[in-house]
Amino acid sequence: MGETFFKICGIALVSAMLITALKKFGTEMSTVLKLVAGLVAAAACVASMSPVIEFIREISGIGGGRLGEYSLFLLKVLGVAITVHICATVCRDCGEPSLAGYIEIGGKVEVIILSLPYISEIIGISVGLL
Amino acid sequence: MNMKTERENGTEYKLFLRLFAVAVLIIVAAFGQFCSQKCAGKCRNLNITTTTANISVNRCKITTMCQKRCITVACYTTNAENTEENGGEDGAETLPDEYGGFTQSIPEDVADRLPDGAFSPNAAEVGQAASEIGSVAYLFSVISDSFGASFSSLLPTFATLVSCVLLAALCHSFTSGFAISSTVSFAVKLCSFCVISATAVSSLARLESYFDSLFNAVAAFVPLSGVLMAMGGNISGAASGTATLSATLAVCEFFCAKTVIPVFCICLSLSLVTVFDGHGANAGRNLAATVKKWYSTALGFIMMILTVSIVTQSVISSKIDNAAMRGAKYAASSFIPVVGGTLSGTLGTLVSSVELLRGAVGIVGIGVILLMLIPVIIELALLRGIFSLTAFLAGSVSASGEQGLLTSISELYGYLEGIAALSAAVFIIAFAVFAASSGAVA
Repeated sequence: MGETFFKICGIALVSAMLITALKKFGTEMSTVLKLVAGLVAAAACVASMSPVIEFIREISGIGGGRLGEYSLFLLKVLGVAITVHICATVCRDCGEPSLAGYIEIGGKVEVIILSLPYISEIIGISVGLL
Repeated sequence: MNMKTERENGTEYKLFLRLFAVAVLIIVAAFGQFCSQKCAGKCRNLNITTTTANISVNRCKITTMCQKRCITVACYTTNAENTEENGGEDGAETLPDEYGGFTQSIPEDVADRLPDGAFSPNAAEVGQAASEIGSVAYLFSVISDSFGASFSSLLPTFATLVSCVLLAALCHSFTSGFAISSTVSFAVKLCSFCVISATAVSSLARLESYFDSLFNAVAAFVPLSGVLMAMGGNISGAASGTATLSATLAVCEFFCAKTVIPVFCICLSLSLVTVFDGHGANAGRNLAATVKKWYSTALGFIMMILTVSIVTQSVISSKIDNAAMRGAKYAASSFIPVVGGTLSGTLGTLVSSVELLRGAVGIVGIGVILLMLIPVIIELALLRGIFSLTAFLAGSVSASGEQGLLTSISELYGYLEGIAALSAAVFIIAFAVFAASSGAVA
């Protein structure tokens, strides 16, 4: 866990120094390196999240089916949020902020779609009780 | 051989009582008729033609009075017969059949906690059960058992709520810097609201079953109270008490069973505003508090009126029955001096035994209500504590939306506790008045 974090920090620092050095020779190489380093760091971050995901899965077993559903929903939302954040950052690094904006809109739509069953459940609870 | 002789003697005694009842009926009715005729004759002699209407009214009053007295005496004699008929080998009295209906209406979980004697048709055993129910040790054992059972059954709920809040806080903090953090936060709050409200709504089923059990038990107690009042010679008390208890039951059934849960749901819906922490959060909370306050005040006022009605009806009808019995005894002792004296002694014994029955049955009734109420109150109090504790936890991990919702729900549990206790208190007072009511003695 700790090793992965330090590796990510190391990769990021080395990549930053290399990018700074390469900027003097040409921007194309530095951009490619920036993207590669970013993707590697993001992959390492996602990989390091496996204990967190396992922990959430364990917690979901405590309260029965309802909490299991809830934690599964949270994992999906977290997954969408992380993916959107990484993709939007990469797009911004590439100098495409408009694409980053579209990705963010798509992510919001995806989160809303994921939460639609809960909206209908709240409406169902209200109608059923009143 | 001896038993046969005793039985024959008993049959003769019953025959005597029946004949005596018929004789008293005829004599008192004739006395009433004689009085009314006498009054009318006097008026005619005095040429008071305008008093014709008053005479009719008086005649009606006298006839009604005579009928009441006849019924009272007949009731006493019939009860005397029944008491002897129901007598066991040891002379113990047997409760009326309506008591069986009352015990059958008690839910199983409550019946398991009652002493065995409470289900016996034998009055002495019911009396022993009543004294056991009234003891402090018994009540504390019920409270501790209910607490233990509720605590163990509510631990998964606590774990669910705490997990829900922690996961929501984790999600909020993780996505706080993201561009879509507001949407994620909305979705997480929505989901946690579903989990929390489902937990709150599932606990309402317990309250619904409590109201159903309470009203079933009271509905079964109404005819029993009427029979026991009539057995003690309280004819007016039986009629008015049964009517008042039925009215109380109907009002409570409407107000408690049919409106408490919708009001809870309205307040829960208003609490939804607090989850999303907008400008309307405080307005929603204040509106929910106002609805609760109005509803609780209205219900408290209605319950107060019902309690006053129960108590005053009991006192007034008791006085009326005493007056009627005094008149009946006076009439009997005047017309049949020797048997009238014997009747007086018999009536005293009968009234005291019926009072004993009423006391025992009333205390068992109170015990049944308490056994229904205590687990519900403890469960609601624990749920309130759980929600308050989780709200505190949510506040400390910066899940403000969840904290608002949890606080609102914990306040709603306090309101539910009050309504449950209030509905039970009215019936406890009614049963206590019934248990403490004395027979019609001159």
